[in-house]
Amino acid sequence: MGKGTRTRARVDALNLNLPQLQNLIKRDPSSYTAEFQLQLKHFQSRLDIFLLKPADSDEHEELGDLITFIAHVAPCYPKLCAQFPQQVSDLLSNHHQNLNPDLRKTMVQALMLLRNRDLISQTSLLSLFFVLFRCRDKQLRQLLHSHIVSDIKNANQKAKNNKLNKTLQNFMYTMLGDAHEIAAKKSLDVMIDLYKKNVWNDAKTVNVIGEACFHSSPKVCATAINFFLGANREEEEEADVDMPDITVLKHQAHIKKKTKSEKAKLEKAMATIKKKERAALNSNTALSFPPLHLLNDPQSHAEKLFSRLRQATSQSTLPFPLRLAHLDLITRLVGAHKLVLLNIYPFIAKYLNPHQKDVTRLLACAAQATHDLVPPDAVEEVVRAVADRFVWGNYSGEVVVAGLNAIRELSARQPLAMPAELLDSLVADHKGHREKGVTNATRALVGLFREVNPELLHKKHRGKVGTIEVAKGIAKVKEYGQMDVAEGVAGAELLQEMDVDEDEDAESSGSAEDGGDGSDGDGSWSDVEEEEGDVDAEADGSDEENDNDEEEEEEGEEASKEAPSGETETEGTSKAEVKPSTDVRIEAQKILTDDDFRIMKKLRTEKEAQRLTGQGLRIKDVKGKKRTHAEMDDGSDDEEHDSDAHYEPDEFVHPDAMLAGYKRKQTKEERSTTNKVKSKKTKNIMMMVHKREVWNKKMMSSREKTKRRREHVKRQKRGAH
Amino acid sequence: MSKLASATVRERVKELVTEANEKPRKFTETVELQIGLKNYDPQRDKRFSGTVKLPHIPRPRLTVCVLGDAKHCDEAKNLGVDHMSVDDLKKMNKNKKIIKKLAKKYDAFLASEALIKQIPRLLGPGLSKAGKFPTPITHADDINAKIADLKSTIRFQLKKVLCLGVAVGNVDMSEDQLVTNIMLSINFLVSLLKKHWQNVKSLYIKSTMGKPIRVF
Repeated sequence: MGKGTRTRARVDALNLNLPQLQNLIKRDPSSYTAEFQLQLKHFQSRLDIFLLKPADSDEHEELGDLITFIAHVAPCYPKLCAQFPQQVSDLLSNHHQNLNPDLRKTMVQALMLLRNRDLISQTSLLSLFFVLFRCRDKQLRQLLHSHIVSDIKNANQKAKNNKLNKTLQNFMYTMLGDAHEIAAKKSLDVMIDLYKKNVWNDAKTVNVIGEACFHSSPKVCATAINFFLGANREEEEEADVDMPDITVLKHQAHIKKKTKSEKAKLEKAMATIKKKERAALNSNTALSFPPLHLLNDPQSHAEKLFSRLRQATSQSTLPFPLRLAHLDLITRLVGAHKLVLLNIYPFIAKYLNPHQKDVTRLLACAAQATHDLVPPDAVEEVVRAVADRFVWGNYSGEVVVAGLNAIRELSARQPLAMPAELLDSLVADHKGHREKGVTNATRALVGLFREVNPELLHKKHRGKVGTIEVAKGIAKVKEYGQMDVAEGVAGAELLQEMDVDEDEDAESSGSAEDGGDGSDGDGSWSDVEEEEGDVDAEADGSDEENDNDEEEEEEGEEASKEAPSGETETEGTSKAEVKPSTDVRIEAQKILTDDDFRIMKKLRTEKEAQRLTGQGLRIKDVKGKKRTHAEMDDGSDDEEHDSDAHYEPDEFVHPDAMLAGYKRKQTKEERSTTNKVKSKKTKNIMMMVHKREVWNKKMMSSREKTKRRREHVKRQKRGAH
Repeated sequence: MSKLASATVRERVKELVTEANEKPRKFTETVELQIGLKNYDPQRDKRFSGTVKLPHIPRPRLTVCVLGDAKHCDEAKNLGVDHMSVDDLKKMNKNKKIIKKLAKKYDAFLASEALIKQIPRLLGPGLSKAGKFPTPITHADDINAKIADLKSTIRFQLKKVLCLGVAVGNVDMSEDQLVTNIMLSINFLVSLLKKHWQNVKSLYIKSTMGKPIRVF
């Protein structure tokens, strides 16, 4: 450095005082241009020296300081610093492996600073950062991860920046193929993080993550699979953690000094809990986890995963938890998309064994993989395996319950898979089991079959409804491959019946009755008519069918339209003409309103409740069918488990569901005794002997004693305590 | 809350029919119902799907193939319906391309009860992937009636986007038939939605070559 001594001294002074210079420059950039230029030159020369020996350790501190300094003041001299970001990023990309860790971190931070000031383009920087994931420096990787996520999030905050997203997603795709395991894992983490933050929640991201399921490294593969399996589960756990315990707070509010702030605290807690509950309610409706539905080709995805699972024989390539995760994902895919993957059933059946590790999860997998398009014989194999190996008198109740619950889950999804004789023996053998959990599980199974196929059950287990339905032949069993084809809107015929009834009522009473149910909607109907011009003054509010008929009648006059529903409103003698209106379904004649739907829902639940309690079905109606007394008793006896009849299988089965209903004796919570119980507990007599109460009793006269005893007897007779 | 009156539907259908009649095409135009939804997140809410049978056949030219045992094959032959026996299916040898072609060729399939359980084993995932898994028929069933059933059933299924369209009729049908079909489909669709009319953003009817006409 062949400079004059004065200059040198100044440079040294400023070198020592870079933060101060930075401060001064930020306040007044124009007057310190010369100083800055000097520093910039200094940086250049340092850089040149450094490039000769990049691994040299004693040079790095000064260079790092200079870089930080320039990065901080760069926005003040955009022209002078035009080259600076490029230089730093070049240096990083060329020498990131052998740079000093501190210097590397300083440079990365400087680049982040420049990025935040928008002095460097996002794409170039992010691609550099992804390359830097290869460094063996955990802290650096964490720093990079958080920066990348927040940067992409910011870029997409106002509107989706599709161009950027697309280039980055493509880049990530190549990164996943990267030979470096950690780099691949890190870029996968970034993507998953962005998905969870709802920044990148599109199909492309999900499919790239889906590709990662086939990565050769178990770590990357596990991350990707767990993303598909458990993203929602984690959220739930998080939600649980910061949930305030409302009982504790209430108790505290009761005991503590009653201040405004305490009250506010309680109210706030209540508000958060309500909010959480509402959110939970909403998420319950979302049975399906969206990423599974965003996969482009679930069939081949599942097939590929399955072939990997089968080929990997050694523990080192696929450790057991990962195998289980594979199986879970495959079965979820099969269930969610109703895929046909027939090899999976014998594969799972092989593992179903009471001593198998994580067997409840495997049972859950078996249930998930079952849907109504799986050939019954494939599922039957699994059902039989479970029945043979789990539901067995010698095993503990826990095992039997798990087996029975699994069988119920399987049969709920594919009822045709259950052979009659197996069901019979299962029910007969375990209905009177000594453990309550087992009997409950058996009852649940019976309840399920009463709903889906009562014919399969032994007569005495069918229950009243099942017996009658079977005898009448109205028990409908869905055949294999049969679709649920609705004839119309469910419950509309009930609405129609109700309307016809009301029609007749109105006619017989001769007065317009008040619409007790949903008069709001009816109002809108008459509104529509008003707009059209003619309003019938007598239009009955509750009687929509009538309104509609009038409408059609009026139109019929104008445009000679066919009005299928007869124009019989005011004539009392026209029952024969009312009838044809019931032939054409109500939902094909008029548009149903929200109120109609509400009424229909009510009617349907009423009807269903009626059906389940057996009302409206009479045993006498069934010809050639005699029920013995015992059977009838049995039917009425078992009504209690009709609550199980409406069993709707979940898309994803939780392993705990397999042990539902089974209670361990020891698990009953230990509670402290109540004050009442404590007060009843007697003290040791030696503690009481010399007390006055005891002494007084002892010294009581016999007359007093008799009197007291009589009173006591009287009180006892009254029933008081 | 629906503000849609039956009269409006009738009017719009009339509009559509007159427009279609003004400029007749060389083929039968199909009438489609197009639905836009709101307040519905296909990523979060459960995707609904439902199948309903319409009173009048909307798609008369639907092609059906019978995958049957000997008796059904004979019947189909007599009726002039395309048919395939077990051997024909076995010949496909699970070849994905051929099965895909088969699934593409027909709009729907019927299969004998005895055969249908083997279909996943014989044909693999091809048919269910295309959403054309066969409907079972028994020996007691009338094939023609079953085919008519198939032709008159329509399916509402929400995919990844918030709109869906279904064919509900054609312009050869009378206006009343069209109105009945359309009303039934609208009511059925609305009954599938969680919040009924509050989830409906728009309803359009459209003939193949015509303009879309807004109903709601």
